[in-house]
Amino acid sequence: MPDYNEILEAIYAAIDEINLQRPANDPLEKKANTVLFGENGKLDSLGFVNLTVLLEQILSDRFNKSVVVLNDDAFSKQSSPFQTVDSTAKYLLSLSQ
Amino acid sequence: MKKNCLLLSSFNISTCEAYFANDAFDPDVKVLSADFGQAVPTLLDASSSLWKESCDAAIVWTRPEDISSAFERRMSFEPATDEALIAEVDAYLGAIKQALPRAKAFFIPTWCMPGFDRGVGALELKSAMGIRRSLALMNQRLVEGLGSEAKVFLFDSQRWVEMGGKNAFSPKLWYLSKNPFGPEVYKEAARDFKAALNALSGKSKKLIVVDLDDTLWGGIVGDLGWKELKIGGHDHVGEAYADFQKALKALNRRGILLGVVSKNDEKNALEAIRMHPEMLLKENDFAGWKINWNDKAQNIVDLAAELDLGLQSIVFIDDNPVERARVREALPEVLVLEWPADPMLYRSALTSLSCFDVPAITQEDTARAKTYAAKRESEKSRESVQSLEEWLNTLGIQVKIEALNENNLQRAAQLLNKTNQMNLSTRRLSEEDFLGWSQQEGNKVWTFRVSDRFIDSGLTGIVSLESDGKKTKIVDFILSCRVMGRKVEEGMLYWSINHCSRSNASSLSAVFIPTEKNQRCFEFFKKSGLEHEEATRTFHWNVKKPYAKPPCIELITEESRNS
Repeated sequence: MPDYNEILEAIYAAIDEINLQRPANDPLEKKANTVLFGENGKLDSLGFVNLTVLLEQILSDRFNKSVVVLNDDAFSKQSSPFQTVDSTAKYLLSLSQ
Repeated sequence: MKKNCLLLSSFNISTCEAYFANDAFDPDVKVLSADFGQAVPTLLDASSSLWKESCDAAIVWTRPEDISSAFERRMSFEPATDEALIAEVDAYLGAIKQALPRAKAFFIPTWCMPGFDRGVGALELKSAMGIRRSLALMNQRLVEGLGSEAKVFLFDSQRWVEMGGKNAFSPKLWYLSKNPFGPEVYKEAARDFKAALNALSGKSKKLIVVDLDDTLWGGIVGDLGWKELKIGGHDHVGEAYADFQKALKALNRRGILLGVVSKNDEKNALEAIRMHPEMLLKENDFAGWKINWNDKAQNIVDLAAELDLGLQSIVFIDDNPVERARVREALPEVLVLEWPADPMLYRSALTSLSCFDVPAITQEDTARAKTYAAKRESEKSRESVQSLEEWLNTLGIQVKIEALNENNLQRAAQLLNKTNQMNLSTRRLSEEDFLGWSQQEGNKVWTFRVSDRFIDSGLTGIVSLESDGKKTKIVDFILSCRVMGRKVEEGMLYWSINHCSRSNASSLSAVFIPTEKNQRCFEFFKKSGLEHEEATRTFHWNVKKPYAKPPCIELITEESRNS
């Protein structure tokens, strides 16, 4: 079972990949409090889809865990668990246990 | 300078756009894209605002089922004829051909299918209903319809999918965002598109400089002697080195030069090259070498100067990471490859490179390697004569002059777009635009093919003239560095002045447009005898005065050939 830090590293790996698609002067920061989605989030809906599909692939490759990251909750900007890197990590931890 | 590219697709291509616009590789690209699903309507609509800006490349990427309803029916095992399939591909080709005048180049990926879609299994390529058989027919039609169009480049998307691995096709991304491919596919695609843009700008690499010990062969020749080196034979490592040499030789046959920079005794190294029975690369395959105990970075600089090539044309391959780091730091313009430690990975590392991509391969390219061996022979002959003039007279230099036409256009355009040093104005034009310019009233383009008793160097010179009847201007004055310094330049200038005189022009001028690389051209014109007006960088000649033809050059025109 991956722990919080391992999941955080997986998220940072996904961010590294997403940053290759972004201008060099506007990367997503690899910090727990980086806002990903929703108000003040740097990702638009397409970026969000790309990130979450990537996360599923990384989690599957690294931990041999099939995790369905996207569900109805994820698309609601008020209650989305993906608002920050930290909230994403906690949510993924709960899905993988 | 940014390249303007237009992306047209039948699916959501924004991830490709993101990599293309933001990756770290040259060239910088400004990307415009049509809304997805608007590929064919945009091709058919010349008035679309997407075509207003000058377009260096239009990329048209579609899914097969978006172009052909017959294909879509076959995916559902519904009946559809091959004729219907081909007719729909032809309609698509018609839309592309209609749009051809609106961009300098078109990049068209072939169609592909996900590996997880097995279609009809063992009947896939046998049955008329097989999806992959249908796809092969469609792609074959694409090649037949567009393969001979000079400005169209077809890309094998299946290669990108293979590089993309198990996540190449993503059902999730499709359902969520109408994007069929995973990111690795777009990365490979963007890499290929950029390589093609560089190729069209004449920025392909021209010379591979290789080390010898543990790079071209296994072992250290100075320690083991040539007989114990691992090349070929029934040995997996020897076989890997032989295959690496084979791949280098294939590049050489395409026109990429090979050079050696190695820390060794030259005598030992050349003995190995000459004597080892499994050595595929021979002395004459190398344009030059620096085999000594000196600094490799300096040796590369010296070799480049000897071959008249800029450092930005060079790729350096060496097994030793310390040597690579030294050259990388000392010569940032040289492409120093991060090389695998295992020789069994050398061949694949070489064949995966995109820096040698070119828009066309001509006879001059395939003969290029022999030119340098011939030059070595001719330089040797020079040792036995007293002066440069005497030596040039022994070469029997012939220069065949021909107006630009459909037959020599490809090579002439390649020379126009690749030559940097002896280039008066460094104009860059597509084949179509170059031919079109030459056909305008008052304009003339001459090509010059150079040969001597050692080698036929092929089409290596261009002069473009623009005249209003009285005053003539040299617009392009271009000569390949391989034939510089043998009075061919003077011969081209003589021809230009002679042409002016025959057409009753009174004056000839040439405006030098400086770049970082064409100082040699300026120096030639300064010594040419033409009057130099410094303020405007213009050179003048009064056509009533004769200009001496170099005695060592025989000029052969179409008229003299036919008489």
